[in-house]
Amino acid sequence: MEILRYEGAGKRYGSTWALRDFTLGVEEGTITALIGPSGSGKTTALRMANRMAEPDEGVIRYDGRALRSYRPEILRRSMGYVIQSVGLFPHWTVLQNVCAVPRLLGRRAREAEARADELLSLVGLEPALYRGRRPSELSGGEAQRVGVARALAADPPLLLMDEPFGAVDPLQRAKLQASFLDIQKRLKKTVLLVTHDLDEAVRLADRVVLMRGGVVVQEDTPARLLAEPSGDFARDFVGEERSLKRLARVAASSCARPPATALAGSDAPEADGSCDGPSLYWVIDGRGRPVGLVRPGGRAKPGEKAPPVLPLGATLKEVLALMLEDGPELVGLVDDEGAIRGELGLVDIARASSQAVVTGESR
Amino acid sequence: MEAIDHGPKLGRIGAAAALALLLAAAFSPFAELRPNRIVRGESVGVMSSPAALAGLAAAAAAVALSSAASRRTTGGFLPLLPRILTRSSALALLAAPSLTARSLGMARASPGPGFWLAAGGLAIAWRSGAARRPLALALDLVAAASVVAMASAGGLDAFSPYAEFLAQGPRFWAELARHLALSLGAFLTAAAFAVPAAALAARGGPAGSLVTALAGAAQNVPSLALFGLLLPALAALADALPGLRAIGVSGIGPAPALVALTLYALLPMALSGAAGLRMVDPGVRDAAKGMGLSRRQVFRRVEFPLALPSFLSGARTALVQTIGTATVAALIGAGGMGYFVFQGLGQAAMDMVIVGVVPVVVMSALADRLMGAFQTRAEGYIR
Repeated sequence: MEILRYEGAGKRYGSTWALRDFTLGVEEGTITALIGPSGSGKTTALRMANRMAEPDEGVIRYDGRALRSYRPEILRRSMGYVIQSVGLFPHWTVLQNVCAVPRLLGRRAREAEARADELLSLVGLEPALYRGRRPSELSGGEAQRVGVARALAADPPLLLMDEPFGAVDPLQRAKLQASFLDIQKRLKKTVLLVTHDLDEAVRLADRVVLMRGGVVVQEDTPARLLAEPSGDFARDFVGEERSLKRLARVAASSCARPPATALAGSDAPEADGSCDGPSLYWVIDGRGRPVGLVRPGGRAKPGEKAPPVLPLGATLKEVLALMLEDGPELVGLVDDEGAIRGELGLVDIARASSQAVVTGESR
Repeated sequence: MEAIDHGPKLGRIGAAAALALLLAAAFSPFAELRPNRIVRGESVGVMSSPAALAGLAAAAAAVALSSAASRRTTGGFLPLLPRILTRSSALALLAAPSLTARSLGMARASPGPGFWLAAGGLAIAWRSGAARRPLALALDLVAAASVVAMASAGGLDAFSPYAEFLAQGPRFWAELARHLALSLGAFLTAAAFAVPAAALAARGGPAGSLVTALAGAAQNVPSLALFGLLLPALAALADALPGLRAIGVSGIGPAPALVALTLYALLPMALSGAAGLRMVDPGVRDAAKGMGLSRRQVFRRVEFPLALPSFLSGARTALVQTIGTATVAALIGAGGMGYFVFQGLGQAAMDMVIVGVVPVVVMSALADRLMGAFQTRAEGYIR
C-alpha cells in the first residue's frame, strides 16, 4: 500500500521551478531514495512531505488524505525527521532530545524514557553511558545515531531523512548505513531518503528516484538503474564504474563457498593435483575461529597477522576493497562468534558481478 | 568542581599601578580637618594618622603578596591573605579621617586627595587573591558588617560625608528607595519588552529594522535631552487624558524618567538578545520545526533558551547603565540619588555629592556581580 503519494507536485521560487510535475508513490515498509545533484529538487520534494515546504501545484496524499487537511505540527509529529546537521537541541541531554516528540504527544515521562533507552540501544549507544550526555559531548557519528533515535521515538510510520549520513567520514558513514539497514530490517518503517551519494542510495534503497533540475529522470530499482540507466544524464550520473557500485548491493554470503579448513596443530591436506582443489586452507582453533592460512600440505599454525575476514553481513564491495587494500587471495566470512562460515576469492566476485548484470538481481 | 573566586589577574601593570597610587596617597593630603561645616580647614598627611598609615601598609602588602604568590595554590590560608588585607585596609582608611579629627579636637574631616588615591589603589587590588566562593562572600559580609558596626558605634561621626549622611536622615533612605524603584522598574519593563523586540529584530524585515532603528535612536539621544523631549510629549498626553494624570503621568516627575530609562535599557537587551537569536544554529531550528514544535514552542523551548546568555549579557549592561543614568532623573523632579548630587553641586557641598554617588557606585557594582553570576550559569547550562 502507498503511504505517501505525490501527484504532479511542483514548487516555484520566484520564476524558477525547484520541482515540477513530481509524481511518486512511496510503498509502505520500503526505502525510497531521492537522488541527484544539488538543485535537482530532491530536498524540496522531501520537505513537502511534512509541509516544511508547500507545493504550488499538485496534490500530496498521506495515508490517503490530502496533506493540506492535516495541521502541520500534528502531521510532523507522525513523521520522523532526520537532517544532515542533526539539529540536536544543545541545551538538552541526549535523553531529553530523544524524548522530545513523545513528550509533545503528551506521553508520560517514564514511558518516554523507557522507550528512549530501547532506541538508544537499537542505534548502538549504551543508554546508561549516553542518556545524560550533552550533544556537545558526542562525536559526529554518535550525534547522528541519536538523531535517528529521536526520529524513531514516537514510532512514526514514515521516516524522512535528508542526507542523514552526509556529515560524517566515509568509515563512519558505512557503519551508520549498516546499522540503519539492521534497524530497518527489524522495524520495517517506510523511509523517504534524500542523498547525493549514489553508493548510499544503491546500498540502502529499494527504489531510487534520479532527479535533475526539478524533474524525475528515472525511477527504478537500484539494480536496474545501474544496469540500464536511461539517457545521457543517468548514464553520466551512474558513471563508468557502475558495475563496481552494483557490488555494494550484493551480500558476500550469497556467493561465498564453504571454507576449506585445517585445525591448528594438524597438517593441511596435500594438493591432489586437480585444479579445483583449495589452494589455501583456513587454520582454525577449537571453536572454528580462523587464526591463519596455510598452503596445502603445510603445518597448520596461527599466522603472524590476523587473517583477512569480514562479518557475514559484508557486501561484495567491501570484500573487494579488502582484497585491493591488503592483497589476500581469499577473504573469509565470520559469524557473530567469530567462527568461519564462508570464503571468497576474486573469481567469485567476478562471477557474481556478471550474473547480476544479466539478471538485474538485487540483495 | 569547586567554585573558586580567583578574581581578575593582577598582572605586573596592575600591581605597579596599585603601588603607584598607594605611594602617591602617602605623600598627598589625606584629609582636611575643619572645626565646622563652613570654614576651610587644614590638610593633614598620612603621617599624622596611624590608622591611615596602617591601611596603606596593608594595601601595599596585599598587592605585593598577590603578585608574588603562585596562582595555582588555592588551599590554606596564604592565598586568602590578600583578601583579608584589602578588606582590613579599607576599614582602616575609612576610619582614619574621623579618628584623626577626634584626636586633634576637630569636628569634621573631609577626605582629601590622598584618601581618593588610596581608594583607587585599593580598588585595583580589591579582588586579588583566591578564595573558595562561600569564604570570599563571608569575608565581604564580615567587612560590610564591620563598617556598619563602626558607623553605628560613632566611629565615623566626624567623617564629613558620613556626617552629611546622618544629617540627611530619613531623606536618604527615601531617595535610595526611589532610585531603586526607578531603575528596577525601568529595567524590568525594558526586559519584558526586550524579548518580543529581540524576536522581531532577529527576524529581520521591515518591523525588525524599525525596532533596531528606534532602539538605536533612543540610545543616541543624550539622557538629559531625552528627558527634555519627553517633557512636552508626556505633558500633552496628560492634558489630553485626565485618567493618566490621575495615576501620576505628567511632563516632570517619575513618569518621564521611567519612560526614558526604559527606552535606554531596551536597546542593549533587545540588540544583544537579537544577536543571540540569530546565532541559533539553523539546523536546530529546522529540526525543531520538522519534529512538530509549533512556532511558539520553537521560540520558548529552543530559540529563547539558546539565546538566554546573550539576553543576560545585554541585561547586565542595561541594569548597570540604568542604575547610573537614574541619577540624572533628579533633574526632572523624579528624585533618587541624583537629588543629593545636584543639591551638593549647587551648594558646592562635596560631602553631599559623595552621599549621592557612593550608593550608586556600590549598587552598580553589586548589580554587575549578580548579573554576571546569572550569565555564567546560563552559559554553562547551554554548553
